[in-house]
Amino acid sequence: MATRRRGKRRPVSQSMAEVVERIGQQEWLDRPSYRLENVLSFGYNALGGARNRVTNLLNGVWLGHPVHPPLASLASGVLGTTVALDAYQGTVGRRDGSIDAAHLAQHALALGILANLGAAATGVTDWQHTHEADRRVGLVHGMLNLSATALYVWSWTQRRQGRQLRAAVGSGVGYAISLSSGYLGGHLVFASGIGMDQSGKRLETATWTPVLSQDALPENELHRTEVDGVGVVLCRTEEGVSAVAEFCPHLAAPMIDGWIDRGRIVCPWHGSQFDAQTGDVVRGPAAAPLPCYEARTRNGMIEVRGSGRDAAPAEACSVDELRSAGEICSGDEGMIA
Amino acid sequence: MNAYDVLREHHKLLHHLGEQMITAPPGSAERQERTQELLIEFDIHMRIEDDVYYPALAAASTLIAIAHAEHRQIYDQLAVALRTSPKSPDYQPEWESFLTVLSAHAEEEERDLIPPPAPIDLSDEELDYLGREMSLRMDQLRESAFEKFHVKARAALLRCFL
Repeated sequence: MATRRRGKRRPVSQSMAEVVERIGQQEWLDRPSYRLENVLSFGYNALGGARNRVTNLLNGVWLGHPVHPPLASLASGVLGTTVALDAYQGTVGRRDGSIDAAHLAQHALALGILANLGAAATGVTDWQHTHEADRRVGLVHGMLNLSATALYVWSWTQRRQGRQLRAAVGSGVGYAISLSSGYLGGHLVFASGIGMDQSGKRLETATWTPVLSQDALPENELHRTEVDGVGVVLCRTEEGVSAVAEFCPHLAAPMIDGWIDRGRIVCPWHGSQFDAQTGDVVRGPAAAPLPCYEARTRNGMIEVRGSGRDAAPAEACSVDELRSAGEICSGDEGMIA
Repeated sequence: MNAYDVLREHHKLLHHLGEQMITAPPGSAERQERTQELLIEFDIHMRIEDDVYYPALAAASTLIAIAHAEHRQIYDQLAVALRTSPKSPDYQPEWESFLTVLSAHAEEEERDLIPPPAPIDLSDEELDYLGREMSLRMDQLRESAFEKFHVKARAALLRCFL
């Protein structure tokens, strides 16, 4: 049997990766993107006292991770449904007795537009704090989504006027743009880790480890130490001593470069604020909490331990007992030794 | 003065103006005057860094991106401080937070970008030229009525957003 010789094809994934890399190299996008950030910043600050509440909502502080991906998935799902219903209407739907797919497509499209607007609001709130290549890819991702949304809105108005064919073409082209844009969004998450918890390796050591003399940690100061090769940042506030992970969950900023402000540890790069005792996010853009370990003082030494499952049974005592004994413990899931 | 000296000196000036501002009685005319001086110099600082110094260090892209993020953080905290009433118990703490974030940025910048890391290797002539360019721009902005109006108008707007 004769075999046909084929030229060596590059895998699709490689070509796509090259496109993303090329976008990430477009440094000329930085200036307009910083200008856009300035406008956004003014807009968020115009919310006044509600600013943190709104940005926390959009960043996903309440959810523990960004809100943008689930909203984008919802948008993609219903917009895909719109395209499928349009295809149905254009083929099978013309027969007598078939369902009114055009009507359903219009409703699905309306929901898709709303979901896209939600994804845009959450996405831009996350994007404004990204850096370098991710920022450029994110900007193109946003612009593509904006173009697709404009097409969806146009398609929706065409449907209202009974122009089904135009409307279907508009939605179809919009969906193709959304798919390309979705690839860029996926790259930001899976290749760059945007939106993922970047706080790094957790301390699992189950036994208490003395790390620093308590006199060496003044109030409202941070101190970095290592336990079993894992970086830990110690801090002392009015509430006592606590120990947290060394990297910000948002974009891995070194928390040792941060500072304590009224009982909150502040990220040095984007200003995320975490409760010094629990690691809970007080203010984004970080959505995930800062991992917090157990800490106590014994015999003049600060001791820490992680949340290893094989932790030895802790001595039972209440927070009040510890406070009265001069020992304050803090940790994940409210664990008090 | 070369670019490094210009920046170090300006950090010192900002620190000094910050000290003067925070010790002036809240709500007083002196406090307003000191705040205005600080805001103008802060704006000038952002401009010379964003427009002159950082572009010259473009190869240190990661550090420049971080510096931009820090500018944003300072600006956001400034907005919070400006909209806090002098009668509020949070007034002094918010301005102290502003000075903290400003100092943290200056310290990190002096640690990481003055001088910048390899592969950036600015010659003495280039540093002098950059320093002159920054000083000239600072003088222009200090004499500019538009700059004063711009900073004042922005502060007034931010104060309105309660």
